Formats: sequence, structure tokens, C-alpha cells
Amino acid sequence: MVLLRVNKPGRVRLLVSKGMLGGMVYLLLSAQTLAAPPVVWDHIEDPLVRAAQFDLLAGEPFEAITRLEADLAQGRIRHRPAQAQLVLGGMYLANGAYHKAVSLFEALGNSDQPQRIQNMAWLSLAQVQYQHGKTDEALVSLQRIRGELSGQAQQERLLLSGILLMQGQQFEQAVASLRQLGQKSLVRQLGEKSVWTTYGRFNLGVALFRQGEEDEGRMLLEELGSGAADTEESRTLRDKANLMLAYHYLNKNEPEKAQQYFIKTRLQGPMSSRALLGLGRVYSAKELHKKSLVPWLKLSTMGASDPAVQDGLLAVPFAFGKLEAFRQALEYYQLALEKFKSEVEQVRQAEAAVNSGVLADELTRAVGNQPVDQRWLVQDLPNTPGARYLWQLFTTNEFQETLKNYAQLRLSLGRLEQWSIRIDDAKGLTPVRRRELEKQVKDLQGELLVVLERIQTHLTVLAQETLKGHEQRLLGYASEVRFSMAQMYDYASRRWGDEQ
Amino acid sequence: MKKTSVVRRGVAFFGVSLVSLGLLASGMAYTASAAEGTVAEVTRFVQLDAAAERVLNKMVVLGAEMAVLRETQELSPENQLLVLVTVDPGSFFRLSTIQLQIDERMLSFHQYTETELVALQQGGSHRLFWGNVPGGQHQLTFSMVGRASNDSDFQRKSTLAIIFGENRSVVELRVVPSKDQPLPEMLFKEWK
Repeated sequence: MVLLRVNKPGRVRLLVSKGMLGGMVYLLLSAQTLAAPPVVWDHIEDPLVRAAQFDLLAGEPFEAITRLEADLAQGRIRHRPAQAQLVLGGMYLANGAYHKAVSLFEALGNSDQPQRIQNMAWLSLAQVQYQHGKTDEALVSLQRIRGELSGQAQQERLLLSGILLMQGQQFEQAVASLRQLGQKSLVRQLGEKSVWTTYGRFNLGVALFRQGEEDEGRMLLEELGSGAADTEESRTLRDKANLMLAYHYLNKNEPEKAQQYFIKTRLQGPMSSRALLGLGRVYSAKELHKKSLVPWLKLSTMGASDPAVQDGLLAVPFAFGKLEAFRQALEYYQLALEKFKSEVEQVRQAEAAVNSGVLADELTRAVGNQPVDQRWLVQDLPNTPGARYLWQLFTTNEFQETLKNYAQLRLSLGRLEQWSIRIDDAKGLTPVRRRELEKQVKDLQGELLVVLERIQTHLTVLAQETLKGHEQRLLGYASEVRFSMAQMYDYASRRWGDEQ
Repeated sequence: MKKTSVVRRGVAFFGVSLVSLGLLASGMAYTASAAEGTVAEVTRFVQLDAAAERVLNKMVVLGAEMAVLRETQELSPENQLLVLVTVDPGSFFRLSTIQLQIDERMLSFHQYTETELVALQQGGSHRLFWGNVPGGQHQLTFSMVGRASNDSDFQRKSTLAIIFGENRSVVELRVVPSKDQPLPEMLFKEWK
């Protein structure tokens, strides 16, 4: 299980993404966190290359690439043309075309660019490869960095390297990389409270656990879980550290130890439902069933789309049963059943919306409405019934990158239409050339539509599978409630029969 | 006696629910598996990603051809003038607007946005004007408004005498810090 963070001004979410790690989770970098800025090259000589770079830096990567490619095709780049190829590589990278960028960056080592710029190019490439799920390639790109980067970039490099190594189960190397992140010299540059350092420390704690260095890992997470936190992001991270330790000890059947971490977790925020669930389990494990009801009853009033709340809805009647308060147990089973039914209905509505193709359209609209610099980031859920069951999926890098491709392809369809009109209106084109261009537009439209359909199907299947998983879980819980209620009625009737 | 029986049977009954409680731990795991990609899903994603990149790269190739077509439609190849504005990286002044006149006739005016100023500071060159001008000798007059490093507003004007031939002319206006005053100065370069 991997966690990622999604930032929005004034809002922080810690999200579960993918990849089980033996119960210990580490923090993954989301597309937003890693949105690599375009490579800023040093002393570009040719003015036309600089003009294209301006377009890129001003947020128009497609215009930048096409303009520079057009200038290159017309032989207008006369001053140090090798620089143009590198700049072009950076442009393709900014456009997400990392395969093309890789081939153009091959010349980096022999270029006139200073080492620090070359290093930044490799780091940017690694970040984009990571976002596209190419973890091995990302590690190779990181290995091409020579020497140290400056401040923030060095932190990004070490943290990304640590995460990639952890994903590859290379915990020893991951620990080494993450330890460097905590080096005093680096921390001093960016401040003790640097988010990178904080996230790095968290991941180091997890990597140490996985490496078998439990004591050091625990100390690190404890430090993180007890430290002052002045931002919502750091408070959430503090909660996460405490929850991590609490569940670790709870699963080792050490409720006393687990309790001390659960009670440090805030009862507000994204981690509160898991904290309440775990705290109830601690009391339950200690046979303090009345006390376990306090967090569980609070939990059962929260939004029932949260799996922890769903567990809480089952836990409350369980505790009443332990207390022999069977009437209340029955009432709470009834309540849980109603909530599960209602949630199943919500999930089915979402499934119907997904099946009707609404999801892809809504997501593309949501993406299209964002400012240029955040154009491809899904930060808010579409207004689809039951969409909250999909938010976790929406925030995975895979989903966001696929969506980004989808939105870019749709945008490209619009461009092709404009080009088609331009070809129609063009004066002085020879018939052969006109037919040639028309054919290129038509062929590309066909190819685009095929890929668009494949992506749409992929997104739909992903959403359907996610919703199906939620539906099955809810139905399983509902049938368990029914079974328990039936047993309870059976027991009551037999008891009533005995009394008669 | 009966009560004991109730308790015993009650515990046994609620023992069924312990299975549910056992699921509590899996509740944490569930949230992961919901979004966890299978190998097939990851493969599908990587393949689709590569397919999208291939098509988008073809868009770039055709886009470059369309850029050339647009240029041939909108501009005559003779007497083309491209004027670029560049700012020395690390300069402390801040450009606000630039106006370009040719022989006292307005050719272009641009007000810079924050993003464009950053693009200039990072080494980009802004295309202030790209179009056809009559051949022969002309005067290009640049007027620049902005804020100097000492926080005072400034306004500068500079003129360049230039002869346009049949070839494409590229003129670069470099806004650079002045050596002995807080105001920037304008330098010109004609690119061959």
C-alpha cells in the first residue's frame, strides 16, 4: 500500500494509492507534487530557439515544439543547432513525450550545457518517467546525475530515488538514499520543517521497518508523530505516523502500545476514521467493550462511503452484543443494513453513470476548466452520483496520466479540425500538396479516434472495477448483517419459546 | 441458570460477528486494493500511454507543417521582420510594457504578464513583432515602461536605424542592466 499526497491550496489529502508493502505504507509522490518545471537551459544562442523556449515557459508547450520544429525544418536555426535538439527534448518532456525526450537527451553528456543543467534535465526526465509508471527507467535517469544538485532539487532527487528503490523492494539502498535526505547540510538549506525532509523522514522510518531496523524506524516515526505541526499537511503527516505505529502494534496484539499512538491522532482530518476504528479495537482487545463503543459510535455517524466507517457500522452492534445489550445490537444492525443498502444504491448509480460514458466527459470538462499551469490535474471530483467511491482511483498517477492523454487527444481533435479548415482555405497550394495534407489530417484523425476510444474504455473499466469492488464489499457486509440479525431473531424466538 | 444460558448463547451468537470484526483490519488493506493496479492493468496503461505519445508526436510533426503553411499564407517571404525581446537573466528591473514603432507608425504593443516575465528571466525571447515591412531604410523606435531596481518607475526610448533587404531580418532588443544607474538600457542585435 502506497500513500500519495495531493495538494490544493488550503487543502491536504493523504491518499492510498497502490502497492502493498507488508502493512507498512510509505508516501508516494503525486503528479502534482512532482509536476517538473520545464528545463531552463543555459545560454541558448540561437534567438529562434530562445523564442520557442519563451512559448514553453509561458505555458504553451505544443506551440513551442511545433514552432521550433518548423524553424528547424526550414533551416533557420543557424547558431549551435545541437542546443536546439536539447531544448526540443525539454519541450517534448514538458509535453509528456518522454520517449522522444530520452532519445534527444542522449546528446546531453557531450553538450555544452553545464553539469548542473544536465543534472536538472535528468531529474526532470526521471520525474516524468515515474509519473508514467516507468520506475526502472526513472532510476536509470537518476543514476545519470553527476555530483549533487542544489537544495530543493537534491531533496527531490533523493526522495524520488528512495521511493523508486522501495517500490523495487531494495530497502537497504532506499534507506541509504533517504538517510542522505536527512543530512544536516541539506536540511539546513531548506529548513527543518521542509516538506521534503518530513516526507523523507516518514519514508525512511518505513524503509527501516522493512529492512528489519524496527527500533530506529519506530524512533523516527515517533519523532514525527510527536513533533510540532504548524500546517495542515504536517498535522496530517503526524497523524499518519501515529496511525502507522498504532496499527503496527495492534496487529502484533499489543493494544497498550497501540493505544498510546491512537490517542495522539486527531479526531478531525483525513485520518480520523481509521483512528476511531483502531481505538475501538484497542478497547475491544482489552475487553473494555463499553469504552470501545465511544469511538465506534462516533465513527458510525461519519460518511458511510469510507471503508473504516463501514467497519465501524459492524463494530458497534458487535460491542453491544459483547455487553449483552441485544436490543441495541439489533437496532444498530438494522441501522448498518440501511446504510449499506443506501451506499450500494449510490455505487450502482455511479456504475450506471460510468457505463453511460458520463465519467470520461465530465473528467475532461473538469480538466479543461483548470488554469493552464494546472490544466491536467484533477483536483475536484466530477459531479457524478457516488463519485466519492472513485476519488481514490482518480488520484492515482496512472489514472491522471491516462486522463491527461485523453484530454490532450481530444484537444488535438479540435486542432485537426482547425487545420482541415486552414488547408481548405489555403491559397496557392498545389493539388498534390493539398491532397497530401488532407490525407495526413484524415489519417491522424482516424488514429486519434482509435486511441481515444481505447483510453475511454480503459478509464471506464478501471472505474467499473473499482465500483464493483466497493459494491461487493458492501453487499458482503449487508449479507453478514442479515445473517447476524437472523441468528439474533432465531435466538430470541427460541428464548421466547422457552419462557412460554 | 437460564440467564447463564443466554449469556453463553449470546456470546456464541456474537461470535459470528467476530468475523466482521476481523474484517476491520482488512478495511485498511481494502482501501489499498481498491486502487491497486493489477499487472494486466499496468501493462494496459503503459501500452496506452505509448500509443498516445506516438499519436501526439505525429500531431507535432503535422503541427510543424501547418505552422509553415500558416506562415506562407499570412506572410510574404520577402521583407519579413521578426523582433524579439530578451531580458538579461538575473536583472532586477521589471518590464511592464513595450511599444514598437516603425517610422513613427505603431507596429506593436505588449503588456507583460507575470508568467511572461518569468519566461523572460529564464532566458526566453518574446516575439514582439513578426510581419512584413516595406524594404529600404527605416527607423525602429522602442519605448519601454517598467519598474527599476530602486523601486522607481522608468520609461526609456531608443531608436534603431535599419535597412531591410529581401531576406528575413531578425532584430533582437536586449534589455540589460545599466552599469552606472538603476535604469536598464536597450541594446540591439541584428541576426544574420
